[in-house]
Amino acid sequence: MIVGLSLLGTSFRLAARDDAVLTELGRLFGPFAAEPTVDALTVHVGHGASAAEALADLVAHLNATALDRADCFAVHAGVVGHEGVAAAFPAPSGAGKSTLVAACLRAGLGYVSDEALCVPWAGDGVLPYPRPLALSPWACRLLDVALPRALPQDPPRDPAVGGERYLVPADLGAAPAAGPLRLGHVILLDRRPGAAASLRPARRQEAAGALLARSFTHYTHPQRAFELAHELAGAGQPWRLTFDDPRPAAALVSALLTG
Amino acid sequence: MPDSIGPPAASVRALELDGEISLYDAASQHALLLNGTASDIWRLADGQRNLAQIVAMLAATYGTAETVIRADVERTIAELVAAGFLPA
Repeated sequence: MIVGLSLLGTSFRLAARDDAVLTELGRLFGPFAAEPTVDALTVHVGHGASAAEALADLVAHLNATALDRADCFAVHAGVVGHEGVAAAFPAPSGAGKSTLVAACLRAGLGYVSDEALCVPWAGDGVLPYPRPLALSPWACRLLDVALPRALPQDPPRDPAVGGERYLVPADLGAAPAAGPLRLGHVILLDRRPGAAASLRPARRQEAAGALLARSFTHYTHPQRAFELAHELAGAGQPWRLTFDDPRPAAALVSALLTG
Repeated sequence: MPDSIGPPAASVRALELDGEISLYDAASQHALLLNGTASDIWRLADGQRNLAQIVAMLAATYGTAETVIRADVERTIAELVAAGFLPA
């Protein structure tokens, strides 16, 4: 069984002896399904200690490869959208991007990515990168997300333990953001234990700096990345989202996008 | 003018957002984001003024004594020179 994917312009041909893994990959990467091109990268899905580990390794490999090869301004960020307008949260790993994105989907917003804001070098619009959402067991419990048993051979999952779970928007009762998108809001995350959720204006230059600092691809076109980060930050009012619980924070983001 | 500060090299691109200037040097591929005060110093470092004139203009703008800000201005200009955004 072979699964073909196209992620941010890179074509992959996935091959595995374990059809269950490929079937799950096909479900998780459904929006990226495409016939492999002649120059597709072939990835043989290995056998780790478990099918779940093989899946996790593969998702990480596909993501890293696609972002490294992406011919666009790609920034480490969570992104959600509503009626053609996107909000991006540039932040490093562990800052709570995926959980906040998932909470935003629970609040009714559309999915764009829990990993990267992707903008063409020309600056026209946002390229969706709806990779599978990676949520911790804690986040799944907090957001009341049922944990699917992804693979038939997986043991039943204890929601209190284990690594990240991969979900699609439908698992959260949500859908991908529809139609062309433009970046309307850059939101800087300020997660503090016990903090009440609040959304305050931030400096545009700070937002530009955050976009540059979190970029995966600035080194390919450094001057254009510098210019584009400032164009994007200057196009709207950036915000600083202080929060602890992602649910009220998501309500603020939702109000910003829908209000 | 003797001891004039600046002007920046042609390879330096400056963008401004809400009064704060960001610099990018295509030669070194380095970027630098300046705060408001450093942005004011950058604007005056155009090759037409020396350090004393820049300090005097900033002191007048901020309503403070030249002796209060001189060291900070010197340090900022030194940093801009060391980073390659202003000529030595």
